[in-house]
Amino acid sequence: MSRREKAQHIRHLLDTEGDAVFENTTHVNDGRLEANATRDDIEDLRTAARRIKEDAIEQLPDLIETVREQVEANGGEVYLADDAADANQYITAVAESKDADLLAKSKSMTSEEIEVNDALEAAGVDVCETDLGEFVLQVADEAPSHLVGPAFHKSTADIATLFNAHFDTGKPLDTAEDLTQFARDHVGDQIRAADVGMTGANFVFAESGTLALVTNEGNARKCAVTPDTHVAIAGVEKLIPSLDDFPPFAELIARAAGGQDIATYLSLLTPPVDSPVVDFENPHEPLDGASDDREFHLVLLDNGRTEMREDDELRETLYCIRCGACANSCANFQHVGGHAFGGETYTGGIATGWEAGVHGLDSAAEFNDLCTGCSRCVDACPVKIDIPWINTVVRDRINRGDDQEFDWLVEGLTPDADPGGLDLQKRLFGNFGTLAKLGSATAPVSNWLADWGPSRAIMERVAGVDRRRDLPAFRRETLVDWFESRDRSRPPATPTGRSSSTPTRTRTTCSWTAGRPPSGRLRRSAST
Amino acid sequence: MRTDTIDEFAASLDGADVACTRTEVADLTAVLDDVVDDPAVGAPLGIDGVSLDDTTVQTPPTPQLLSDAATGVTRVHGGIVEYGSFVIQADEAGTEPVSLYPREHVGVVCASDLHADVHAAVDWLGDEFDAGRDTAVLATGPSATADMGELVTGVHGPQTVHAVVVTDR
Ligand code: SF4
Repeated sequence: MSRREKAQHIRHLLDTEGDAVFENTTHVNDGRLEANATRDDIEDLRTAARRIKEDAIEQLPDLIETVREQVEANGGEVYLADDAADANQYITAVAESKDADLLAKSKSMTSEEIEVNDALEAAGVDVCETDLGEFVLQVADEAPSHLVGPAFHKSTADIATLFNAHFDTGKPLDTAEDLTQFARDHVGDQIRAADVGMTGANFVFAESGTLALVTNEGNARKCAVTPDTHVAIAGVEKLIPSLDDFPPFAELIARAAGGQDIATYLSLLTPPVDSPVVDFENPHEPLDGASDDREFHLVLLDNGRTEMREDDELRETLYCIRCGACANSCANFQHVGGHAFGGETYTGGIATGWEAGVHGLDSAAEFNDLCTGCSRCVDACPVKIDIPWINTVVRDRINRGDDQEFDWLVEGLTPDADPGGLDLQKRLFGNFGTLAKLGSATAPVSNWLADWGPSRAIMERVAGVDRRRDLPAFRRETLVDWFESRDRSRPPATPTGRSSSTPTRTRTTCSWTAGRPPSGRLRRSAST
Repeated sequence: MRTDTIDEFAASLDGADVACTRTEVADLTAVLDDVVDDPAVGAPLGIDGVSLDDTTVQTPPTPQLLSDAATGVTRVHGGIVEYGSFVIQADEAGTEPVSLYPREHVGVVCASDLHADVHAAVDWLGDEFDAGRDTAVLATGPSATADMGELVTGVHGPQTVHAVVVTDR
């Protein structure tokens, strides 16, 4: 997308989705702060959670072996998929082996990452999204705009219009309650008819072969236990050693995601489970788990994660538990939402790390500049990920990627240590110190030149600097001259406490103040 | 079990929109008949001297009963006092689907199965896992969603939840 197209796209999203995103993020932020305030050990929990994830990623190859052995001992299968195509092939083969016509699926960003619905549908298997947010998007044929609330960009009225146009609902649906009831019944019928159930996993306990699923609606529970075949898809980074490591995450994830003290359902499933299959085709047959023949497949997805683990800068992304707090707390995200602030699959600040790792730099480049590095998200993150730093690193990698043609124009503005290839706009403003020195030394000529129509046209075309943008006016005066000429009776200004502008890894802390009063908490399933 | 623990659990249940009725084991079946909406379906409670056969609750569960029942009655194997959570273990008799499908879930929890917090509950579950009872759900309040733009209770899981605490077990 050209800069102009991107700007147009963002303006369009601000008009169409901005209000719903702002309202939803505001509520969730209020909830998160309120829920965190009820405990005085949040910091300890974050520290513990962070350490568990660090250790787990460190021991990942061992954990993969452990979980493979354990799931097989439990009577299930583990498939380690190299990439999306590999995972889809396996999952499709499982569905075909069951002669499945319909698969009921709970929310899973990892399944979005591999686009498993397309693969299954190409093989003749219908997929029903059972999380109501995902269901809305399936009806609308749109992509999720948020890790936790996939339909975050839609208001009740938007969904009512969609459902009323798409379904024969009898009398028109209007309220959130009507819509929920309608969707629940529609999706409920599909779950009853499904041949295969598919879930993600928020955590996988290697030692027992257990999946932890964090939800509020109950759909994942139904998908996992109703049909006789359960397929779970999880990135390899979801592995933690055992149940003992779970408490900090149980406490943190729903607080971070939506301001609940604890999620409605924390399912700890060690499949194949003892619960009986619920076969609605034999409605009068008593349930009896002892005579059932359940099948379970755990698909562990690599898709770039092994490389991320070996990458000193991107590794931290693998600690992410996908709570969406970095998106909610981000001022830019609050206005544009995940359809602008997101890549092929993932949304929000941490999406830069995920997209760079699983889809490549091009996908991250589409939105990475929306991170201003303010660091508000760092305090919101339950596993203390330095999300702005990941954005800085990825931005740097993107900037060094291509675009050498007009280097001569800004040559001399780039420090020697910085080789060419950086985007010209970034080199123009990124080396503002050099630009300023040059501009000040030649002022007022530099100012006339900068404002002169043809110069602005060249700057717009070559460096992408919009000609309406105000440029800094340079003065032929140094800071020392300026300082000396000031009124000496005033005391010197105190430092503001802002972080250094040098590109070293620094953190600023920024406390969140909500823009609107709270009006109830939102509950959505944390993302798997 | 000390009364103040049960009081605390009841207060947390209230915060999670879960009703609470206390009873001694001798009166349990009568209390169940009182609190359930018929038709009701149940899975065996596994409490000595108590049988759902002495109530209006129908057993064993079938898919049809799960669809038709207004209430599902099950044992709740553990309670988390801090949050008013149920720990429901999966079994072959169908405790999990009975607690999940009907619009109301009535969970019977023994006072001696209450745990102070998530940590304590997970410690206990660790032993249960080792004993082979390695699937459970920590359920707190009715199922809910905000996916339609506002908080609505009663989605794929129950819309109302009622705890019956057996104070002398
Ligand atoms: S980076 Fe942190 S805040 Fe963002 S989604 Fe992941 S865990 Fe949540």
